[in-house]
Amino acid sequence: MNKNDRWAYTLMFSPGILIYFCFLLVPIFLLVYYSFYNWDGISPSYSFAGLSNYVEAFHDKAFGRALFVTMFITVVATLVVNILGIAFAVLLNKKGRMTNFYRSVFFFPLLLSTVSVGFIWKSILSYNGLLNNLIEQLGGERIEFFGDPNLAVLTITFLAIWQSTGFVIVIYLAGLQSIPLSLYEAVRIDGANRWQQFKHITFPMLAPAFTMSIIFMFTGSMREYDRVAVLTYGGPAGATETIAYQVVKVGFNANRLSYSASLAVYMLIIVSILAVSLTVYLRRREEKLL
Amino acid sequence: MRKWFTMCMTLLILSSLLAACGGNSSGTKTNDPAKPADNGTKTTDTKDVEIVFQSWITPNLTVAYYDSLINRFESENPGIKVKRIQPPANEGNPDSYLKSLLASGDFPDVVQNATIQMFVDADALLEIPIDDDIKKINNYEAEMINGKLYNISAIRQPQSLIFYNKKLFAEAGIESTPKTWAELEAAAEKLKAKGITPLLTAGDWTAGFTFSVMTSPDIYKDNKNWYADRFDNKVKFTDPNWIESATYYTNLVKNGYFNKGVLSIDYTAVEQEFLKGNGAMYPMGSWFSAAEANSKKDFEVGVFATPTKDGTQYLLGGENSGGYAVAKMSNHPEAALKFAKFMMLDPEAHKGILQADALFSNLKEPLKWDMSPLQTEIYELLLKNPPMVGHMNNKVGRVPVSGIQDQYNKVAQNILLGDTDVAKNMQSLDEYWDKNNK
Repeated sequence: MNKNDRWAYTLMFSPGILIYFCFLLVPIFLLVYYSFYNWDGISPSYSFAGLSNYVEAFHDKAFGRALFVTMFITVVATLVVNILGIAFAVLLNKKGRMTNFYRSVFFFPLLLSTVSVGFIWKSILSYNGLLNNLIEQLGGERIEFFGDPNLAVLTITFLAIWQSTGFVIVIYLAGLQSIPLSLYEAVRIDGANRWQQFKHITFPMLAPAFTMSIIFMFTGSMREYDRVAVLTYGGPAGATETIAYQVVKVGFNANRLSYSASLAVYMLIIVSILAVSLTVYLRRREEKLL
Repeated sequence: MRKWFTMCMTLLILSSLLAACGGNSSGTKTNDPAKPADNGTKTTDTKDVEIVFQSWITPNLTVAYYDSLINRFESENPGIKVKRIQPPANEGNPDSYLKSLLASGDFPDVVQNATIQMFVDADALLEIPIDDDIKKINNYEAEMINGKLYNISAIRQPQSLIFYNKKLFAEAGIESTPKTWAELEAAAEKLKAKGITPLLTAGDWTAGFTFSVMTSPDIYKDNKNWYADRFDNKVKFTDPNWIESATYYTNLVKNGYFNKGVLSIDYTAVEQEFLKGNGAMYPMGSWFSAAEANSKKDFEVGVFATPTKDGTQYLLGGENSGGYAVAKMSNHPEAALKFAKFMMLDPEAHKGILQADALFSNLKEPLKWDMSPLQTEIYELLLKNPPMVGHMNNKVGRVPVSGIQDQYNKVAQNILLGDTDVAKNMQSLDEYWDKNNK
């Protein structure tokens, strides 16, 4: 690399690095800094609090519940979205008159904002909503999709799955199209049926797409906020509060910015450890399979 | 040449990015926590100035309402321009939006509907001088903090009201509106026996609001400084009076007087349920009367104060709360103060805000507006009422700890989920208070 190239690279890298520094590293540093203080986010003064916010968060039952809800939504949504994503991608990976239409239909929910989708589903699933009116007309009992604590968590998980599946399908479709057809021809000659083709060719060859989809879904679901804010406001009685929702609620409603910063740092640590572990594991899996 | 070109481009991109990261420095001074702002007593020229006004947009208080008043103010005060801004979303109050503006040094010159105590604690608001204009307001001392006034408001907003469907009351043979807890329970029982849903509420903030307006009047009628006393640990939510009041509310739930699926509907939906005639009583604030006046229905709506144990009427609500406040760091405090006074005290502006949000004038010479029959009933209830105190997250002697409304919601939702352990639920309010009183 000569001197001129170095300047050219500097020019190209600097905007990205500066944006990354200003909008990611500096806020993370400030987050950690404020978590060691007692600041309400608005007063001119604040005092050093040491680890007290972290100790309090460790014993906070509401935070424990939020962690459980977040992990439940993350694990279930990540698994189900990827199973559905692979299944639909395989079904849509063929030439047909309606294939593009079906691809568009599956991808469409992702184009809508989470907030808009939340309001649409709210009008469908509320106690007086379209679905309950239909159930009643068919002679059934109305269902409390948002009023029952367990059902409310499942409803939010279902909506996360509904909205994310389309994106994962696209990732898997791209992965499927990179698999050489000669591999299928070879195993067909050896007498492999469709399931064996999927098990021994398709699924292993999808490993890079699988890694990307799992990490995308995992990190996205761990930040679940919008659907909770629109559909249940964390209720009933805090049953659907996720960590991200609680961070915002504690920071802005209770005006405990430092405490909410400590919750966010916990979240950052948990997500980082799990995401890095998952990535390492899935990369090793890719190396074994490919 | 190439080297110089590359260097110039790098500098250009870096400077553009730095410029984009910077805030707008016009209007107000930066609020640096390390450097508290000065006392705001600067004198400035009120000619050729621009002030920034944070407006509060609701379905009732529209952009058109504000813009017409701003146009009139500007024509009556040449040299003062008003730039109107608004929060990106209606979250119940503009506090989060204002906090971010304060942090970025863009705090508006005039703010509306903010939680005054919070921004006084942040040293962000200007003390309003008590002059002849302010003395036109009844009970203006009610909102003072440490003997100083920081907001201009001359409105009364009763909140502990129960709206009722006169047709359903007649069907159930209820001849007079309940004044005591026992009378309300008897009325609910009669309605239930007729297959009518006695009480309506919803699962969002409405749950906590309903719990608060049906329990608090009995406590605050005897102690109008309850939150101040709670800060001093003189009273607790687990005191016998609160336990008794919460038990009364829990029994209403236990007896099945509330609507089915209550936790699966929200404020907008429950309002429609009442207006469709699907429930007999709807605890809500006076703002509901604005929606009622615009609705089509085949029954009349009446109103009564939420009952107390002994039948003493005591309405809770806003007494000169909210309104307009001026930034301490404003570069044009005189112009900003003039605008804030205009928005609340100018007869046309005052009448406009009252009518739009079904509020009542708290001027010494109160302004009347075209009230619906229901609004006239509320007005008559108010005439019989002493000055109100707030409830839930509003001032009762002092503003409570931040976010207490979330815990009220949790308690109310727990009760609606069937958790009838009153002592445990009320203790959770004390625990929230102690934990967040920092």
